[in-house]
Amino acid sequence: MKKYKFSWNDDIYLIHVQFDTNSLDALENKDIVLNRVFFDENSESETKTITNNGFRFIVSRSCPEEKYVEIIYDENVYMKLFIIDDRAYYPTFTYYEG
Amino acid sequence: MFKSAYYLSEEAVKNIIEVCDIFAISIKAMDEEYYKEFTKGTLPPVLKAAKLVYESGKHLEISNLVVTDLTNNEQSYNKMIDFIVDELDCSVPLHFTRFHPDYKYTAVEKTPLEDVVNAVSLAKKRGLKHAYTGNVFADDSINTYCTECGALLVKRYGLTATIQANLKNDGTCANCGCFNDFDL
Repeated sequence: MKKYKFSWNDDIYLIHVQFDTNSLDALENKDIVLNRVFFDENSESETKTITNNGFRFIVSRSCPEEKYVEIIYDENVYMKLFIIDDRAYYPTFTYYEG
Repeated sequence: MFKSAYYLSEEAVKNIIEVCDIFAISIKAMDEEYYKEFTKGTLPPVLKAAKLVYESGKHLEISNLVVTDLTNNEQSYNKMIDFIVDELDCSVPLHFTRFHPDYKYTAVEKTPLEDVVNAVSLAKKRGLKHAYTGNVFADDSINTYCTECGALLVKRYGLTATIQANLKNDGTCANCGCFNDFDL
């Protein structure tokens, strides 16, 4: 599985993450795990299932105590991460790919 | 839920009212010249649409973009508040939303938080029950407080909203009993 850690800061509270794959049917694991890790090292986990190529959703920092979000996804999935300043916008500038 | 700048024909608005329950209408400015210059549209159809939604009884919220050096002034805020007070009613939520520089309009900075907070203060002074800032992630101005006693009812942080013990299921404040227009 691939793992990417995104740390929140005073300017960035929102991101989009998008997942692409050549063949959704061939994926062993369509689940994406989001671990929200807090400054006290406690964490909360949630799972989303990729339903289509280009599957994209928004992730918002949940509270000031949330330090970073860790995104875990299948080796055969390609993730793009976008930073958002305004939730009404659909970002196209990629901050991270891999 | 339908969020839109609402530059639509009356027929389209009536059709959408039939199939949506919640409407968030973005009024860019209460200024016809602004609409012509920056949106290439016109203001009257937007206001007419807002009134149609309001009269339908569906849930309606209005947002108003506050642009640095353009509409971040008391005159603009008052025009927006006038519309709510005169044409809708004071229980309709109003969001003064921060602009951020993008695309073809990048010469000015993101609207200062202080400006939208001032707009909210003015709206509340003029009797609006539910005025908020928009495009603000963490500030008291995005929370909901009881309109009577000031008790915190909904705490917000970014896209997370947490209903507080003070807000009862019937929409009243547990502290003072005031109804705060919630339908939980």
